[in-house]
Formats: sequence, structure tokens, C-alpha cells
Amino acid sequence: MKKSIQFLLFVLFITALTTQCDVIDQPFKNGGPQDTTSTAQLRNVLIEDFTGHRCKNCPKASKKIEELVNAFGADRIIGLAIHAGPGNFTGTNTDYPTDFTTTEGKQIQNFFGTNFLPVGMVNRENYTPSGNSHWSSFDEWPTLSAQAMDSTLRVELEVEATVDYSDTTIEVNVKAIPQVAILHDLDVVVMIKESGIVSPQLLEDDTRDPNYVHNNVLREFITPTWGEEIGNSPMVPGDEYLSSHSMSWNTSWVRTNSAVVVYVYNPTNYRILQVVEASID
Amino acid sequence: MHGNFQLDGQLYLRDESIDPTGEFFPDEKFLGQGYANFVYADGSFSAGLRYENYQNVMLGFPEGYRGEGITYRFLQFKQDGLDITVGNFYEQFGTGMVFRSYEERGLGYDNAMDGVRIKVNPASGLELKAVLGRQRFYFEKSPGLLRGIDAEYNLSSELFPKLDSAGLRWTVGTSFMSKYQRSNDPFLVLPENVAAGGIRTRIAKGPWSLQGEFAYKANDPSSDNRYIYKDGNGFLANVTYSKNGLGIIAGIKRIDNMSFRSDRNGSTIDMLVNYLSPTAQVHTYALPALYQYATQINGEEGIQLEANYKFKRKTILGGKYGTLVSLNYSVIQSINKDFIDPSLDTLRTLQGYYSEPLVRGEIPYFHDFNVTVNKKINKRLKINAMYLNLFYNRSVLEDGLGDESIQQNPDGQKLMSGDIIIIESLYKLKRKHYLRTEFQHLNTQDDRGSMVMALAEYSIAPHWFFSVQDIYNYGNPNADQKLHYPLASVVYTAGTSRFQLSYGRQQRGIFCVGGVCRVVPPSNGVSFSLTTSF
Repeated sequence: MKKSIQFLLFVLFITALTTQCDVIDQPFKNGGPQDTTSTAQLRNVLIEDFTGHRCKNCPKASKKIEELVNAFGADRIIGLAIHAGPGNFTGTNTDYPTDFTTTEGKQIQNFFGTNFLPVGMVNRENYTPSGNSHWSSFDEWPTLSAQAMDSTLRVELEVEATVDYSDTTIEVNVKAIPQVAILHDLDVVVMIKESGIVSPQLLEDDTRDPNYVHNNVLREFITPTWGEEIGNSPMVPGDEYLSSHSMSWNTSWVRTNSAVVVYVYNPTNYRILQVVEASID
Repeated sequence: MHGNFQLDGQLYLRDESIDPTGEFFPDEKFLGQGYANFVYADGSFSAGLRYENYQNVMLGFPEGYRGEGITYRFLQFKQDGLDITVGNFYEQFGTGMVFRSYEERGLGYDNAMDGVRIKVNPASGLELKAVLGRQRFYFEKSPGLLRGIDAEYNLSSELFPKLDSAGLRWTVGTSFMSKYQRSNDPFLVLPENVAAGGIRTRIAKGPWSLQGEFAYKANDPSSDNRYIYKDGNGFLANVTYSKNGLGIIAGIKRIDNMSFRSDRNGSTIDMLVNYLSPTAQVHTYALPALYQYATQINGEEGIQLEANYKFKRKTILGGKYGTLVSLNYSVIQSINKDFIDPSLDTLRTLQGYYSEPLVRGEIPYFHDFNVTVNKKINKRLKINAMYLNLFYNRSVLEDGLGDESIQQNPDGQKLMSGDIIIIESLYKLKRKHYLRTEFQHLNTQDDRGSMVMALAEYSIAPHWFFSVQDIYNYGNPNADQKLHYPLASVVYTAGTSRFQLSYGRQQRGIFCVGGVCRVVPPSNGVSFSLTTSF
């Protein structure tokens, strides 16, 4: 009986713990954690948004990126719409004639392993070969983005992108500057994305919007899918690592709506250390 | 020491008829998965573990299962009225409206707890449970912590012995569960601690039994409810009567915003803390199983009536061996929801919508009316015949369309209604030799159209079992999809081991257990399964 009484006390203790419940009266925070006082580069966020023009829930993910860009700025939140996944979401037909898929997008989707849409990765944090923590729904992107932006910048990136006057070649120059000691190799990835593309999209209510505007659409990688090596371990603050990349410019892409996205990542765990978007001059 | 082992695999064959673009055809071509449980018990002590492997997970199962490892391990001892488990465990409070941790292997569902569970009977008639831990999320853990307690008390035996001696059993129970999940959302002030609680009772006397439970959940903005702060509630009641061959069950359920996950961003069948049982019959026959009901955790209300009566032997309807007749009716619809104008930003986020519990919802989700007659004709032959009338809202149950979208565009709903007839027979050919046949027909103008199915199974007890079946989707509105779905299987059983080999084509469908469902993609190939226990 004595032990039973002890246990009852223990239960009361557990009950006291479990009475925790937060009741919220005012749900909104005033603005985000933006730092407008410093011009120093901060850690940016790449949201790889796996999407499809026949995926009716996908516009919600695109809208979430738009909200985050509005809140934190286009330099801090960089969206990338990767049209990859099941053919019934991404395939073309007479109603959805534009093929937005890319070889690189399919390779990334296969490697990280999902067939759900919409789904995304935020700086490819928490990747493990047998886990799923690197995948997130668009509802999680605000939290994950805020966490990533609060973390230490390990590599600063400077990017210049130019297309020659005859619109035949794009050239991208990248400078990576470690901000802390880095004890792993560093790979760089360079790609082109385009916004403002008008093409049909399936909407949540199962209707088709023929004039939907697709933004942040991955067009093509200038580097291979998994990039090229830009620095070898060890790297120390103050070092500078340069690389240049070029490819033929596809004249069907609207240059003023296009941008170059460059990121550097740790090839041992695929974590993106810094990402920068640059307009094309 | 005891345990069991299972290994499943399938060699997938490219079939352009059911998968024209190859979107479901796996790159690996062969997929296999399995598990083994080992449990050791000695006196008041027991321990066990489960190893699982997915190389890679088979089509239709959640893709989160990738890789291999020990996913379940526990130590348990019972001493001085205490039952303590550390490590993994499954547990349930009441009917599960507040908390249920369980595994349903066929679904790929497993939300096992990892932590501590204590059970005790501190006084006569009183049972207490306390749990603390995190839920399984495939090969990882959910980000939320769970802390819960449950108490059940036998009122009639302890406080009202006169009622008890008169044959009345009356128990009451209460449960409480709180989850903690850190929030770093830049826009919303999210509750990091969310609590849910419930009360329940069960009264039984003679042939009658009444069971009821009410649950409440505090503000829990989540991906499921689109981040509204409205509280949730649920009510469930069942009355049963059983006497002299007559059995009646009447159930009613209403749930409002009762999605409760240990990760507010979770979806599909991931990290559900509670379990909301369906008020619909679960069908095992192939054609009605194509349109199973999935519980709508954001809100639904429904009733279910079930009655069966066995006509006695040597009566007009009973005949020589008696006749069992069963009726089942279930109907489920949305709850009443008056959505707040999105322009009222704060109110919309805090409340989402208003709901009148006594006003019937507008959107029909599902109904199922069926009659079954089970009759033994003679010493060798048994017949089971069923008629089923079905309504199934595909926009809600397959596409997950929300009530607000449907209210705005009710004409856009994809609905399915149809009639199904099933005749099953079991014939004893000679000693240990049995032939079972099924004929099923679905008549509908909706979705994939009408289908017919025939099946024959020949078994030689206790080792061999042969089966062939075919479903012909002759009514498909798309001429290219008027396909046959043949399947042949052979099973060999020896002692506690069973080996199955199958070859055939499977159409897309939905596989459900207890109102929890997953989508099964179409496939074609050779599959095998080996199970054994020791």
C-alpha cells in the first residue's frame, strides 16, 4: 500500500507536468527577424520546391515562398521550383503542354528519394541516407528558414553573371570566402532559373488556370548536378576560392526574368552552406 | 523466447496498360522488405526487439521507410503491482480519441512510443497509466514530446455494490495528454504545449451495453487545420444489444478539428497521437474494398446501425441449419461549418469557422447500406450473399478537398455511387479438400465504371492452397482502360511457416484499416511472402 501511495504521488507529479497548455490570444508576430542594420552577408536560404503543373496543392507551396520572400527579402530567401516527381503531376498533355521537367531535377528527386508533391528541402539540412528529416512540407518552411537564417555563415559567396551581347553564352564567376575554418571539401553548383512564365496550372479546387504565372522555375544547371569542387579541406578564413562557369544561353528564356543561383555545399552531407541569387547582366 | 519473421518481395514488370508513362514503375525493379520480432520473458521480466529492413520499400507503403535497423526495443518488469516499460511500447487511452499508439503493419503505420510507461492498480477497481516519450517517425523520432495519464475506475463494484450484484457493470475513465513541440515560426505565435483530455463511461447490464466518450483539444494550429487556433472536440457513443440470436449495434460520432499529431506539420498517417475510429463497416471483399471510408480528422459526423439475426434451425427461414441475416447502414457527412471571412485576418486565424453541433453538415461524405445472408445449404455447401449500396465522395476521400473549397464550388465534387452484389460459396469436395468461390459485380457509372470479379480457391488442408481470380473493369469510360486484372497465387503452409507466391496485376486502390488509409498504386509482377513464428 505504501508503494501505491508513492506511486499516486508520482502520478500527481506527472499530472502537474502534463497540465501544460498554452492558450494563444494573439496569433501574429510583428514582422520577422530581419536584420536591416548590417550590410554584411548573412546565411541565406535555398528552398527547393518540388512541384508539378498538374499537382493541385503545389501552388500553395509556391505562395508560401512568395510570403517568405516578402517577409525576409529576395536576397535571403531563394526559391527554386523543381518540376520533378510522378508523371501524373509533372507530365504534359494537351491541357498542360509545357514540359518544365529537367534531367537534373529528376536526378535530385531520385537521389533524395520522394514521390510526394508538394514537398521541399530547406538548405538540404538534416540529410541522412535512411531518413526523411531533409524533407519538409511548405508549412514547415517558415520555421526552417528562420532557423537557417539564424545560423552561422560559414562561407561568403560573391557572384557575377553576364550574357554576351549576341545572347549566345552565359558566363558566371564565383568567389567563395570561408568565414570559419572548414574541414571538408567544398563543391559549387550553378544553375539558371526563370520566373514569370505563363502556362496552365491545376488548382486546389480541381480547376485549371490557363494563365498561371510560374516563378522560380529551374531551367538548367551550368555545372553538373552535383557541382564541381571549389575548395579542398582544410580552408581557413581569409582564403578565396574562384571558379568560372559558362554555357550556351537558351534564347527561349527571358533574360530579364531569369537569374543565376549559386550555392556551395558540403559533399559529405549535402548541406548547403550558402546560396546567392544574381541577376544576369 | 518467442517471435516471428516475415519477408515480402515483388519483382515488378513494366505494364503500359495500367501505367502508360511508367510513373509507378520502380527503378529497382525488385523491392523487398521484412521484419523479425524477438521477445524474451522470464518471470516478471520481459524484453524484446524488432529488426526491420526495406530495400527498398514496396510500392504503396510510405516512402519514409528507407533502410534498415532496430526500430523497436523494450524492457518490461512487473513488481509489487507496478508494470513498468522502458523503451518502445504501444498504449491506448479509452477508445483512443486522446491517445493511441499502435502498429498496423499492412498499412505501414507505426507510431510506437519511445520512453517510459507505468501502469498500476493502487486501489481496488482503479487502474492508472502514465506515459512519457516520443513517437516513431519511420527510422526517426517525432519532434514533439508526449506526456499523458489515464485513469479508469470500476464504479459499480467499488461504490455501488448493490448495482454490481444486480448485474450492472459501470466504469468511468478519464485521460489527459499534452504534447510539447518547439516553435520558431517567424510569423505565428504557436502554442508549444498543446493539451487534450477526455472522459468516458461504459455501462453494461444483461444484453445491453452503453459506451460513450467525449474528448476536447485545446488550440492546436497545424498543417491539417491550416493553422487555425480553434479548439477541437469529439463525441462517440455506442449502444449494443445481444440476446437470443439477435445482435444490434447503434453508434453515433461527431468530431470537430480533432487532428492531433506530435508534429504540427505532419501529414498523411504520420505521427498521429490519437485515433478516431470510423463509423463504417470495413469490407474485406475486393470490390467494396476499393471504396473504403477514411476518417476525416478535421471534422465529420455519422451514424452506424448494425443488426444481425440468426433464424433458428427447422423454421421457415432457418431451414435445416439456420440462417444468419445481417444489415448494416452507415452514413457520414461533414459537420456544419460557417467559415469566417478571410479578410477578418485575426479572427479567421484564431477561430477558422463556427460550427453548430446540432445542425447537420451539408456535404455528404459516404454511405453504405448492405444486407448479407449467410446460409448453410447442406453438409458440404455454405453460401454467403451480399447486396451493397454505396456512396463515396471522391473529392473528399481521395483528393482531400476541404469543406470550404466544396462549399464554394459544390458542383465540382467528384462523387461515386454504385451497387455491388457478392455471392460466395464454400464447398467441401472431400475430406481436407475445399473449393471456395466468389462472384462480385459492381454497377456504377462513376469513377472507373462497372467491374466484375470471379475467384476460385482450392485448398488441401493443411498444406496447400491455390487461388486464381480476375477483375474485369468492363465499364471503364476510357476504352483503353477496360482491363483485366488477373492474379494467381499458391500458398504452402508447414507448421507455423507459410510461403506464398503470386503473379498478376493489381489496380490502383485505397487500402484502409480502421479508417486509416493509404493509396495503393497499380502494379504488375511476381510477389512472394514468407512468414514464420517460433
